Amino acid sequence: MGRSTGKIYLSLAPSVAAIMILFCGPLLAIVAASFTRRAPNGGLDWSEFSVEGYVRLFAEPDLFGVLVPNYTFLSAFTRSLSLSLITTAICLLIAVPVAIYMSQSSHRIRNLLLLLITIPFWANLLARNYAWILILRSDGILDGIIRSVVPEAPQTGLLYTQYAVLIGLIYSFLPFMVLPIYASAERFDWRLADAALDLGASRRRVFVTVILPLLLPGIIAGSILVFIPSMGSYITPRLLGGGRDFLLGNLIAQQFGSARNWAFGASIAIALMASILLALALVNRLSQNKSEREVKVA
Amino acid sequence: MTIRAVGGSLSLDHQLNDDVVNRSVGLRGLSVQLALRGVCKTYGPPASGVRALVDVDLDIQNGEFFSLLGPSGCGKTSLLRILAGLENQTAGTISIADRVIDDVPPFKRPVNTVFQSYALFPHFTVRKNIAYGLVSKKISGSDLNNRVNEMLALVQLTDLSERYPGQLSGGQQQRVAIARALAPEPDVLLLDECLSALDRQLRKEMQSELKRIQRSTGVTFVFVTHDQEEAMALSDRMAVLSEGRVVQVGTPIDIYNAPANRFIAGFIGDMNFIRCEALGSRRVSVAGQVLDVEHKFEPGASVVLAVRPECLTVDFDGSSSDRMSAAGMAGTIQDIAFTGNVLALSIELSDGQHLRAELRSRDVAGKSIMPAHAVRVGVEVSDISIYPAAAGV
Repeated sequence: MGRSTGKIYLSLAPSVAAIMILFCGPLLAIVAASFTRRAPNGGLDWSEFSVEGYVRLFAEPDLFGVLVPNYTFLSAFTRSLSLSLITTAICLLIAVPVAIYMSQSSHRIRNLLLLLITIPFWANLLARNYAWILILRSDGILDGIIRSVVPEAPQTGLLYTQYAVLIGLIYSFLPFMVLPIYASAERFDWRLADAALDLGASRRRVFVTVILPLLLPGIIAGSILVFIPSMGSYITPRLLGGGRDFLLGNLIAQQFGSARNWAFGASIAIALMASILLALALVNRLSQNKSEREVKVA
Repeated sequence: MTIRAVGGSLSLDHQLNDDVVNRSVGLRGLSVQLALRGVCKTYGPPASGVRALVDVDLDIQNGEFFSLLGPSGCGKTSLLRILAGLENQTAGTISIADRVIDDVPPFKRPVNTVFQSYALFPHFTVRKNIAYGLVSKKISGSDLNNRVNEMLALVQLTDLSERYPGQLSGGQQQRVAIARALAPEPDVLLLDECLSALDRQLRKEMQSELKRIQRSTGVTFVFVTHDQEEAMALSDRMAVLSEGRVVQVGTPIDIYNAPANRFIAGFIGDMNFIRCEALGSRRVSVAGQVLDVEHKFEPGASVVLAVRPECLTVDFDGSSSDRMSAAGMAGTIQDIAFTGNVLALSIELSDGQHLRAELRSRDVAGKSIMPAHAVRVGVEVSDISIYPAAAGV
């Protein structure tokens, strides 16, 4: 038995090694880089441990070497956070009815909808964003459609605003919200809804007290899958937002690119990751508390 | 009325007789709780769709334990869902306590359901499951708590009130489902094949439990089942459904003793069907025996004679007979099954037809009964029902 266990470990070794090197390796490199200092000509100065990158998140030295507050990171963080929250919320509002409808449809319609929802995955991300530029730009497709109905309508002027970014993000991430909720909805036992109706609950109460709580695993998974990539989104805000309002992704790209301050870029990345992990822990804690409370309530 | 219960002795006959009288007297004083008039349900287009229910008329009394019995696909579950308001009938009218409820949505009907799958809310504790229907009725505070505790006591689950359904056994879940449905004090409780998921032992327990709960609450129970034994054991009255129609309504004893047609004769209890030839308008011949029956038919017609296995007498020694029926039908014992109180014989008649006879073990004690023995099977004319022969039998 000992020998066969040994064999199993041996056969697992390549995949474990691949995971360690390909997943943990880069992460460790970023963590290490975040604790270094910017070399005089860009790149990293590995010679000593430094928290300079983290200090720069909130403050930077002025010409005389005195630390003064720096709001670049905080404002980018707040902007990313609010944009991601709005994206997640709108995706949720669209995805819940769609997922429920899909789970209730016939096999054919269900497959068709699944196909339609996953189609954006098949097209290149850049191409999709350029398509949105074509739609949203002044005198673009959207303006054309509006003018065909109301000839005197002014230009929408949506491109290069945060609304364009929002539209782009929702479009890109909606499938990540729909699919987990659909998975929950498909497993949902609709007889429970019948039972709730039978017990005198209005349709609204059935939805709030029975359907929604049982879709919660899908809703949480979908929200995480939408929220996290939204927080780090880069291409969509760059192309559709015109890079006017800096988001975290743009800030990180700038530090690794033109600013040539890899240490600061790595610090931002780690700070982003830490705040997301914190948020996840909080969500986890809250949902656990909720189920504990449910036990106590009479 | 003649009552012949399974292995019926004289004393048992009397007891059952009294019970029937008591029941019908009791029911006569009560009002009609649930009335169905011409209820139809068609799935798909009206003209060509599947007719699940056809012209169902039923009167269910207040406080009655009423069963809807039928094979799967007979429309009994459709009927239950229509009563609950989860589906709408295509035609006809349903009223509860003289109030027409055709357009009342499910959440406003004074009807609750115990679902076949129980459909307990998995994210609520037992207590919250039971409270769900009460909260709908805007009951709160100590009233809510008292009612939930009362229900928990009724189904004997007080100790498990803080468990989640996933932590309960099938029988316990069943009790929660009953308590949850009874908590809002419905006028009618619908039970949809709710015992079928339990194993045999537990099902027997739950049957008497159901009966006890029904008696102690006095709520009208409408119980759907395909298990005729269960329906007979539980019901005050029952309706037998077949292909969307109500074929017979009556007490279990009435239906058992006088099945309205051949379908019911075969569906309720064990029944021997013996094909035979009509000799005269009231005379048939089967396996060498001529019987004068009460039924009237065309001479020469092919008819089917139905008789319960426990109504047959078997004469193991053809020469020594002291009964009139001893002439009987000639046959051979093929198989013997001893199940304790009953000895079941499978007998092949001289014309090749097969019969099942059930004898009380104590009546045949000491007799030597062996396969391949020639016997004579006797039958009382009053125990026989006669139906026109259908293809196949």
